[in-house]
Amino acid sequence: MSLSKEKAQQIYLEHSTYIYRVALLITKSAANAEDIVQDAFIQFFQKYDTFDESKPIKPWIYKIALNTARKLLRKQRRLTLWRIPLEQQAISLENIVLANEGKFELWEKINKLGLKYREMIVLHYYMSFKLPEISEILGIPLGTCKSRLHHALKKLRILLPEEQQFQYPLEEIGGRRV
Amino acid sequence: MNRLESRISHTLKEHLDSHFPQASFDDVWKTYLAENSNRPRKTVFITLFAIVLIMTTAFSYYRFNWGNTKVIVRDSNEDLTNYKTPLDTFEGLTEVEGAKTYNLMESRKKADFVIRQPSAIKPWEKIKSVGVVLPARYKKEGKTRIGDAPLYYLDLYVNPSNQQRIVVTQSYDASMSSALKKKSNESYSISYPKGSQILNGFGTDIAVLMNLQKGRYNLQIHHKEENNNATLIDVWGNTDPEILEDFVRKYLSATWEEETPIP
Repeated sequence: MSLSKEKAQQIYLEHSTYIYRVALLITKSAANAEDIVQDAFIQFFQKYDTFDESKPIKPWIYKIALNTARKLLRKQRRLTLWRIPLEQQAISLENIVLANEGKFELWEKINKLGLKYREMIVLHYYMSFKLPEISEILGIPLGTCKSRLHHALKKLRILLPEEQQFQYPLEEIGGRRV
Repeated sequence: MNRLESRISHTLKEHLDSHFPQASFDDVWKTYLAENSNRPRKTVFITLFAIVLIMTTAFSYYRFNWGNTKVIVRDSNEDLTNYKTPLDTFEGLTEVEGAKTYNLMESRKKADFVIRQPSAIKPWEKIKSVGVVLPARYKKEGKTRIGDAPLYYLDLYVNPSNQQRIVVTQSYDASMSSALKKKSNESYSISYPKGSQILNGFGTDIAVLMNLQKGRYNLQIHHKEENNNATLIDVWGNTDPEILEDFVRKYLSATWEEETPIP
């Protein structure tokens, strides 16, 4: 099954922005997210002739993108030491977070989660993937998916100050706060 | 969806929805077409390369024993053109905010590995040596803190005739030291960039030559010390790999200067 330029463009326009945002949360770096979008789509175009049309395309693209992101992070861990001057100049998501510290408590806590939990959170709560789809994208059993999501939420509950966890509007709890 | 889940969803939307990639479809498509047109030629090259490797070392999945440890070397294909090496960052490393610098004597007192200082390696001229401890982030009790990374000792050499540069870094080889202490039924794995070669003639040390692209090479020596720890000697050069290998052999066989003052 060959891929026409028009078809490729349609897929790119439909998915590239969301893949960029997912990659941004996972890598915390705009430069990395940009690289991931480009590398993932090039791989996707190259592998398109092996794609089974009876299956939805979206999980497949995200699987490629997340594998690309993981590979990039692994590579960077190994060579991190020598990149410090470069990294200091980079515009990173972490800097944005730090600039807004206090105002965006939950956002900061999400960013402090480990990679496997951030993947779960962004795929489930931002991309609205169902757990069986996430299981396929990440290549892990459904049970592991459920467990990771449970632990991610548990970690967020622990990390958040108590008043933020239970900060319901007064009208919702039906009276004055105790 | 409970309250926390709803807030997570809302927070992600609020913070991510304003970000967009810069690359246009045309940029990506052009890169894809360029790579695609090279694929058949690459395949032929890889096939020939693979045959050569099978006849020699079959490096694409290479196992060997080092001490009591089975080392597995995998072949990973990576684009390293954007990576900075000490060749690019030597001068900048000491300027990193929070970096601490030490001379040779101070470094030797602080380091948990043997710092080697060879006498002259002709035609190379040693320009500068320095011990560096960079700031490192770590997590404690859920909070990110700044501490000290392990000490690295660096030497910068220049060939006066052509201004080629070589940087040698020495550090405690934590991974390999752990690997050496593993039991015989445990394995340790490490991956190197595609095309990396294990060089012979380095005795009980592991010597790996890596092509970091853009004319840069890294020869990495995992040196086993008498106390069963390992020292990592990384040699980076913008030279031909043969010249780099020659430098390393001279470096390792040179007489050590015990307490030479730092330039």
